[in-house]
Amino acid sequence: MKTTRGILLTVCLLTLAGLSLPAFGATPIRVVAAIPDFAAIAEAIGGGDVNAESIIVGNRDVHAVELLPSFFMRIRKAQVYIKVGMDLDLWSQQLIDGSRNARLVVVDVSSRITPLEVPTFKVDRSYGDLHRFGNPHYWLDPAATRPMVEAILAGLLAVAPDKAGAFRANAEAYIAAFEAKSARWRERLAPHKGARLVSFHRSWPYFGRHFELEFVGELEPKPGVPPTPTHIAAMQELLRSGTVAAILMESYFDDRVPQMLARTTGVPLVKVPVLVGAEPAATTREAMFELIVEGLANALQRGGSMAP
Amino acid sequence: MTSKGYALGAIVCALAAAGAAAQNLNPDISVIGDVRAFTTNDPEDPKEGKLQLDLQSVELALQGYLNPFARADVYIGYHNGSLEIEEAYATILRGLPGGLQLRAGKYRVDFGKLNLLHPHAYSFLDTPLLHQAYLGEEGLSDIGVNLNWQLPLGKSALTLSGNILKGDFARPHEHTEEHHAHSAGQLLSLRALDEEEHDHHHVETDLGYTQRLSLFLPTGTYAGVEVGLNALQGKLDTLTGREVRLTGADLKYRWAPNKYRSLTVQGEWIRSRRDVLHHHHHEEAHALNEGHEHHLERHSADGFLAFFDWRFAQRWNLGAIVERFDHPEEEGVTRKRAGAFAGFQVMEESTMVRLLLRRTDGPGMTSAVREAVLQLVFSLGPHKAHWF
Repeated sequence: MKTTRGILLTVCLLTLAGLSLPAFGATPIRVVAAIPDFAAIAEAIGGGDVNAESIIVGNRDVHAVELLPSFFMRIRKAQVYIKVGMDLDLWSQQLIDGSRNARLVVVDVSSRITPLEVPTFKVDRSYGDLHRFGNPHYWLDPAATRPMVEAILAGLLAVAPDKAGAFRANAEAYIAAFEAKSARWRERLAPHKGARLVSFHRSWPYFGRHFELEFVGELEPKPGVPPTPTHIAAMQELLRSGTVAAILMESYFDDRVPQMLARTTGVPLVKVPVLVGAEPAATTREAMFELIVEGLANALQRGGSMAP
Repeated sequence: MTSKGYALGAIVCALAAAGAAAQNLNPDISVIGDVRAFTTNDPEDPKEGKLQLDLQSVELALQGYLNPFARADVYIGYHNGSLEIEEAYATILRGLPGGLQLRAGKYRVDFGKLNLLHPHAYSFLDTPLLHQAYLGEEGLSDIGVNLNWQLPLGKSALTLSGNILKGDFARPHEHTEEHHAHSAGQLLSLRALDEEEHDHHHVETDLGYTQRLSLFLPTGTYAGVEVGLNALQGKLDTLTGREVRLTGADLKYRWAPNKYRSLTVQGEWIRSRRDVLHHHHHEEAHALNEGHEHHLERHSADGFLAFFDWRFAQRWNLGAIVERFDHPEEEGVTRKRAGAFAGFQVMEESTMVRLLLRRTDGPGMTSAVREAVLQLVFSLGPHKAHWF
């Protein structure tokens, strides 16, 4: 009992000493993002005034994260947290709660996005990991760059309104540079407009809409459900039909089934990063899209677009 | 299913109906079921050697925010014929000075890391015998107030936690005859002994206190080690003045080299010091009630458990657990248990099949008790991320 009182007294004294208070007001602004793509945008907007890091690092699945105390500590010291939203990173809310940071500005980037594939029926587990607010892989849409940048800019300005001029200028410069590259990527894939593709996960509706590519199937029978023998057989039949130009897969998934299907059907497999940093060459968003577009364009050139 | 089981079903249906009416304001609702097929060579089990089936538990969880600063969690459990509030607590998550968190209600106490988990989350299926003997049949859970403080040390975290508990943890647990039969493999007669001494309704407990100090050190972006020190002080009953003091230490290491693989190695040691009434008969119990002198002796015991859990593929894991401990009230009585387990996710994490093979040894047993248990765990509702 004395020990408990002692601990409570220690806690109160240390609290009063302010040892655990985040260093608000100090520069640079500390940002934690759910995915590295948002951290990259925050740093581009902030220049040297923003220090951003992400929870997902490297070739990891954004759908599942374990809640480590080290993540709580990072968010505890942050001023802005940027989440994907649309129920993709449900773990973000648990991390925010665990951080105990009452002054954290939380930016849900999906609030600026017009979602695709919003279910018009009651979503349950029989549909796999189907997201009730629509498909959440909007960061793979080059055209979503502007709303994403605007959402993150608003979050940064909420903690540093005095930097509005510089941040807005940086944001516009980033959007302009990205859109210039995006135009080149569209030209690169233009000859393959209407190409029919199969993906591993349903990550590509925004990307497909932007580049006018048609995704006709996924190797997962339902979102989040690993390929089953029956579904693999059905996919094999589809790929052998000669109407599919390539298999496009996210590099964080196990590639044994896609490799087998590519080998047995002759349809090229394109394995690409879908997050910044997922491959050593994907150092920025631009570099990541460069890898996706070039990988896909090369495969489609080799195999033909096979548009219907 | 008993009438209590139907009552749980009625609660779920009522909540689902209410959900249709006001989905946005409803809490998250999830249901977890634990179905088992098992066999044992325990001679004390009337169905020794036969295949047995059981609905081990059904747990209903209701979780949501109370306001921007606080949330509430309620877990209602159906276990072996009885329905009870397993946990019901409110937590102030943020807004308190210095990053303090405050919790009040009935909850699983942070004495070690393992005790915080509900048994359906254990890869080795059941509450370890060490916890049953030293913390309570279903682990350490009580009504209380928790104050928890976390100090960032770079990317590391030092956590200091203190609980004031009502003292129900010291009360003998109520359970059914059916449960006695099913838990024959648990073998520890501590609670039965308590029931002989006093009718559990007449046991008067007092406030108890626990403390935990833990340090988490990241060893990689998705890896880390946590060490913790734990202590508990409480009264087993105010009538005799029997006290209990526990101290403990725990360690957890987790390494996740990629999305599909992870290794968890975890261990816990507990030392118990508790007052024991010697040569205690029913007549003496009546005498106690009349205020006569009685003799208490402090008995020390300790025990440990250790396990590893290796997830070697997207949907597969395997591991082993060992535990050894002294009976907290009887000299020279030591139990040992070892088990091997494997798990498989059917499609997704929402459906798990686990197999456990285990052996329990100890004095007073004519031979080692061997058990084979096949478990199906299914969960409805939102699936949340796992805590380290």
